[in-house]
Amino acid sequence: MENVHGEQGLLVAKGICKSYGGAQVLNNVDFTLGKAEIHALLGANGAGKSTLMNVLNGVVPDNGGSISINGQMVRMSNPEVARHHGIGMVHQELSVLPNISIAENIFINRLPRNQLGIVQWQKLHAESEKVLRSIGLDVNPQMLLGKLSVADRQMVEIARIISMDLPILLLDEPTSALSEAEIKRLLELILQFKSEGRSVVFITHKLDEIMAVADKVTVLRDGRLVGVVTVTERDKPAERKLVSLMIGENIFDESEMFPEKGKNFGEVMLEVENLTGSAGFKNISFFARKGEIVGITGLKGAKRTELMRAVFGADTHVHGTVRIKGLEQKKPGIANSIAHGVAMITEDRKSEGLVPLMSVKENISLVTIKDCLVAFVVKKSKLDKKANKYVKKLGIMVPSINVSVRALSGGNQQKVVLSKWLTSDPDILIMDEPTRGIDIKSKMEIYKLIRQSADNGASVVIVSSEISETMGLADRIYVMREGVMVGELSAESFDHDTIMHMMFGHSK
Amino acid sequence: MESTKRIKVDIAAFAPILFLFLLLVVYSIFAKNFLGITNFINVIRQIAITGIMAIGVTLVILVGEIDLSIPTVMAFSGMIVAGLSKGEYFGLPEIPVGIGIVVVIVVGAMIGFVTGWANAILGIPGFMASLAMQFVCSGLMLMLTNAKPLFGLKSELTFLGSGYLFNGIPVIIVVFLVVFIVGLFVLKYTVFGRNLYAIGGNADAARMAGINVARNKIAAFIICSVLACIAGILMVGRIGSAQVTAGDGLQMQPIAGAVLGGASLFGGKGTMLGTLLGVLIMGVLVNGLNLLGAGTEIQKLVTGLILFVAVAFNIWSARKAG
Repeated sequence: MENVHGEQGLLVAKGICKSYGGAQVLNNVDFTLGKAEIHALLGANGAGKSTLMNVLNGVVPDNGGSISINGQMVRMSNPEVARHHGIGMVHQELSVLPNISIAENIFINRLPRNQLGIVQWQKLHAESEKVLRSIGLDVNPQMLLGKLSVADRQMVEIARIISMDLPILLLDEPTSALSEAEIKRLLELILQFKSEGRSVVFITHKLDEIMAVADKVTVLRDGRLVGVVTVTERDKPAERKLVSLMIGENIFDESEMFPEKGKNFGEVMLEVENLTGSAGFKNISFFARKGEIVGITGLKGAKRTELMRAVFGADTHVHGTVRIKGLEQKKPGIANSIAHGVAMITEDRKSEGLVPLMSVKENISLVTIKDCLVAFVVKKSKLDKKANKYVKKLGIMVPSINVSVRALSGGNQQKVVLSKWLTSDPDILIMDEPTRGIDIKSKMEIYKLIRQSADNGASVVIVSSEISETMGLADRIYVMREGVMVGELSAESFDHDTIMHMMFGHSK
Repeated sequence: MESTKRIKVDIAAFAPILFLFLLLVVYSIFAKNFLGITNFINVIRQIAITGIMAIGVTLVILVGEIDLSIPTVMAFSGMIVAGLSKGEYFGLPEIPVGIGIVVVIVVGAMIGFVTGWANAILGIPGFMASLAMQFVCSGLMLMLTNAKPLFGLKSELTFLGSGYLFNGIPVIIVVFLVVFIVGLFVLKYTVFGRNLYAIGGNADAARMAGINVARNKIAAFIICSVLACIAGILMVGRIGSAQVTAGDGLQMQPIAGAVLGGASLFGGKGTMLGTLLGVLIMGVLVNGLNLLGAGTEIQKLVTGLILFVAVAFNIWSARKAG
C-alpha cells in the first residue's frame, strides 16, 4: 500500500474538496487513474465515493483542487465538458426512460439526423444493434426500454456510454441491483473494456468484485483518502486488509460479520401452504418458527419479492393459505397482517420504505402513530420519546430526530425503516433485501439487530440474493427458482455451491 | 450543519408572512383608509368564502391531487339551500334553513365521495375526476333551477352571510375562523392529518405501512366538498340572492391561495397557516389595489404576476433545500 505521488496518469485529481452546507464531504482527496486500468473506489456509505465520481464527471462542482487529463488541466464544470474530455458516467440511480425505445435511449440527445433534421431511424437501429452486440445484450433495439429487466436496463445505460466511445468510464455502484449471474457478466464486460484500452472506475460494496477485476483500489473514509492499494494478491487476507482500511478497525474473519446462530426455536408462527399468485409463483409452501431466521434466496426473477408481498397482503394471491400463529387468514390485507403482528421491510427503501419529505421522527412513527394518541390527539412528546428510543437502540446517526430522512446515509435510512417496524413489536418480521446498498459496518449492525429480534421471540424471514449473507444469517434456507420452491437446507447442510446450483437449476 | 439547514427552511416558511407584511406596509403608506379596523374586517369578510374552500382544497392538495369542482359545488349548494327554504323545488313545502343545511352537507359529502372514489379506487387523476364532477354538478344545478336566481332569502341565511355576533363581529368571519382552527388542529394533531402528509409524500410507503390510502384520499375529497358547500351557504347570505353563477371568477382562487401559502401541488407539503396567509395575501392585494383606485384589469394582472413569483420562489427554495 502506498500513496501515489507525482505519477503520470490518464486522469489525475489533486486535493479535491467538496462541502454541502457545513458538511465536508470530500477533504483534500487525490485520485490517479492510469490508462487501461480498472480502479475501484471503496468506502462506507457517506465516505464520499459517489461525490468524488460526480466531481470527476462535472455533475457537482468542487470547492477546491485540480483535475488534469493527459497532463492538461481541465475545469470540469458540467458533464458535457467531461464527455468532451473522454469521461462518461453511469449513475447509481437508473437514468433511462422506460417509455421510449432502447435505441433512442442509447442515442438520446444524439439521434442521427439528415440535413433536414429528420431522424434516420434505420441508421439509429443499426448503430444501436452494433453497440448492444458489443456488450453482449441480445435484444431488439426497437423495443420499448420499459420491457427490459432492471439488469438489462442497466446494460442499456452502459451501452449509451459505450456508444460515445469514451476512454474513461465511471460506474457508480453498477452491481447493486444485479443478481450474481448478471454481476459476472458485467465484470467480464469491465475486463473487456480494459483489453480495449479503456479505463474504468467503479464503486462497489462487494469485495469479491474488487478482488475479481480491480487493478487498484482507492479507499475513502469520512471524506478523506486513507489509502491507494495496488491489488496484487487476490485472496482473503488482502480482502480483510481493505475492509480494515475502509472502516478503520481490524476485522479478522468473515464469520465475525454475522451474529451467532439461533438455538431454541418455538412454535410455527408463519405457515404458507401451496400459495400461488398471478405474479408468477406457484404452489409455494414454507414455514418459520419463533426465534428462527429463515432465509429465502434465489436469482432475480425467482419471484421472491412477489411471494413475500402476497404473504404480507400487499398483493392478492390466487389460491393457497397463509396461517399466522395457526390462524388461517381469510381476509388478507396489509392492515390485517399488521394487526396480527406481521411487519414487512420492502426491497426498495426509497420507493416503498420512506416518506422523503418527512422527518426521521415522523417516519419512525408511520406504522404505530396510533400509540401516540391521547384522545384522538397526536402527542408530540410521545412521538419524540419513541423516536429517541429507537435512534438510541439502533444507533442511528442523526444530528436530530427532526431532520429529513433524505439527509441520512443509506445505512441509517435502512435503520429508520427497521425502527418503523420494530415499534410495532412484530411477531413475524419479513425483510426483503435488508442490506442492499449499505456499507459493511452498517450491515453488521443490522445483522445483529435482526438476530436480536429473533432472540426476543420474533420469527424472521429474510429474502436475499447474496448467498454468503443468507448463509451467515439464516438458521434455515429455502431456495427459489422461477417461481418455484426448489430446495430447503438446514444449517448443517449449508453450502455455497449447493445453493448456487439450486438457484441456477442444474445439478452438481 | 443543522443550524444552517434550519435557517433555510425558515426563510421558505416565512416568505408568505414577510410578503404579507410588506404589502401591509406599502398599502398603509400609499392607500388612504387602508389602515383601520373597519377595512381589516372588510378584507377578512371578503376572503372568508375563498378561505373556507382553500382550507378544504389544501387537504386534497396535500395528498397530491386537485379538486376543480368546488366553485360549482359551492354555487349548487347555495341554490339548494335557498330553494328548499323557499319551497321552490319538487313541489316541496318550505323547509327550515337548518334542515336545508343538513341536506346540503349530505349532498356535498356525496359529491366528494364520488370524486374521491373515482380518484382513489378507479385511479382517475383527481384533476380529471373533479373536472368531470364539475360538469355533472353544473348540469344538475341547471336542471334543478332552470338557471333562475332566487331573491328574498330567509333571515337565517342572511344572518349567516351578513349578520353580526356580539356587537359587530361578522358571523361569516366567526365561521371562517372556526373552520380554520379545526382544520389546523386536524392536520397537525390527528392521525388522519398525519396520514395525508405520508400519502402525499410517498403513497407506496404509506400503503406498505398499513395506511388505507384510498379511504384517506376519499375522506380528503369529502371534506373539501363539504367545506365548499358551507362556503356556498355563506355566499347566498352574503350577496342576498342565490345565483347559478355564484362560483364564477372563484374557480382557481382557493387553489392559488393554498399554493401561495407554500403547498406543493405534488403533495406532501403544505400547512393550514400557510393557506390562511396565502388567502390573506390575495385578499389584501386586491383590497389595497381597490383603495388605490386600480380597476379589475390591474387587479387580475397583479394577482397573476404575484402567483408567478410566489410559486417560482417556492420551487426555488425547495430545490435549494435539496
